[in-house]
Amino acid sequence: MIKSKSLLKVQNVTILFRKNIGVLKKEDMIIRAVDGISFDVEEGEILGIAGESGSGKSTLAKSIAGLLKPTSGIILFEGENIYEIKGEKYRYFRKNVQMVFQNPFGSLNPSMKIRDTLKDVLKAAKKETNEDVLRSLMEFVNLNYEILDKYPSELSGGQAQRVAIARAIATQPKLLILDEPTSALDVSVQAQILTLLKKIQTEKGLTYILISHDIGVIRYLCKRVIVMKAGKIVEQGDIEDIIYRPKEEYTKRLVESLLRLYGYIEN
Amino acid sequence: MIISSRFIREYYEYLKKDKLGLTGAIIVMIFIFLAVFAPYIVPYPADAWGYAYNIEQRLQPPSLAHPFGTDVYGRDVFSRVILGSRFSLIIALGVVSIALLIGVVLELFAGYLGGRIGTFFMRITDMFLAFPPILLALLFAVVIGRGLLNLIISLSLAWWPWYARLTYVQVTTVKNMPYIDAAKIAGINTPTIIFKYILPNSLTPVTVQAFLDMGAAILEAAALSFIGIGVQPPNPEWGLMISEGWYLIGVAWWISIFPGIMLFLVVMAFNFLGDSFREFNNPKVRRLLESRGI
Repeated sequence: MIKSKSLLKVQNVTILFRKNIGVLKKEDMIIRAVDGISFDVEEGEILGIAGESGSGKSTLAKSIAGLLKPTSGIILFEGENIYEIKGEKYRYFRKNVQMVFQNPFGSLNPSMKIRDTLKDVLKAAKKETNEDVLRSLMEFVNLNYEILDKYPSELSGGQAQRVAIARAIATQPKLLILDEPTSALDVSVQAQILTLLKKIQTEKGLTYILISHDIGVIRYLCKRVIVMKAGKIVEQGDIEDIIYRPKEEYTKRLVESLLRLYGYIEN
Repeated sequence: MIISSRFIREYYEYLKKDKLGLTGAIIVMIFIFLAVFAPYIVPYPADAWGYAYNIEQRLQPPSLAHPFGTDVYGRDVFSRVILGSRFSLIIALGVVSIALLIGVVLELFAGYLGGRIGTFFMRITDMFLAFPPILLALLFAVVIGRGLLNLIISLSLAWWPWYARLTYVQVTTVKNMPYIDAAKIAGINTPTIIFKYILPNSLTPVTVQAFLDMGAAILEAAALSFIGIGVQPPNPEWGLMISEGWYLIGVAWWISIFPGIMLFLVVMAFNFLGDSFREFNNPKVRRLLESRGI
């Protein structure tokens, strides 16, 4: 196995979905959600993954989070293949790679109080679950303690996403996967969440993989960006280069659509 | 979660505004009260249980002494009708809870595992669903024998596939929610995910259906008792009492009519309550209520 200093190594990962479209006989339609992708993530880095919906970026995120075994290719976390490790090493991986989802309400169990959601996560990571720990978590994401005794349905979108972030950092992970963390929120709340994410990254020295269709969001947090289209990497490099000197037509369109959107708001 | 103090309080607030549901709830509460205390409050307990035979008082029309008249053995129909609520309540609760238990537990695992195992359990469920429940219950009742307990068992065996189907659909939806992924990523173990994350969030439709089915269970049990394969004489089950009096309907209408009215009232009340409970659980209605501060 290749040993490397990088925190995460994605090597030639392909994820196929099979869909049976035959009426009577077995006939599969194969969808290449992720198609031979490779990249490295250094410790402490924020890597952006941009692309329009359907480009396979969320599927890739799920796979890196250990929820979806790639059809081929390997994903290494600190040099270990995450789909082969077991026991203590697997628990170490689980504890160290966390994810924040797009829909904050969908990612919180609606039948549990916030307190219990956080406690479950802390328990699973074999950490203290006392009031002090919970309160310091809430403090860290700028939330009132009262939120602890509420149900997700009683929160606003921004509050719910803060709780989701608190849950993700509760296990003190090294890598945080942010799958469209702001796209379900109001514009005013988006900025607050992004500021919070930046603060956490600087304070805790976390590594982020930020997935978004919004180049503006990526630009705010990341230096390096990967642009995905139909499961493939079409372009990668420095974010400023990508925005001002896009090589590919697709990237150009992605950036332009964003500029048009902001121009529209200004007018 | 569907069973929490907050939920019950909210439903109580909702009921206060829903007059039809409130009517149902009041009748159901009276029914439950009668079922629990019947033997202590009826004027003729021995008549009610069917131990007494007063041949000299047979077939008396309604009077002050016997408000609902007397039946062919001279037993007080009023006492028997009141005690009959106990049988109907036991049947309704028994059938619905056993069916819920089988259906929910089976499909919770089938739905979570999915794949071939899930399909296998679903096909078994479909086999049951291919028959009208009353027909299946009839078959089971004939095979395992008569009596209250056997009646409850046969009806539950015919009833669970409906809950199984609902649970399966709900579980397959819930297990793909992001909060299940989030729980997995956090390293929470599978039993906890099934019982604390999937089960509570899959229960709403099936609980609503169970509420709606209470009346139907009573009705079908009465039908089976009516044709003689359910509760056995001398017990005062409503369906049985109707069948005991129907051939005398021309001379002593009160023997069948009063249990019939009780049956009608209770089934109707359960339906009102069930409907209001369903409305209350309808996400659209709930959102509307929340936006108006209820």
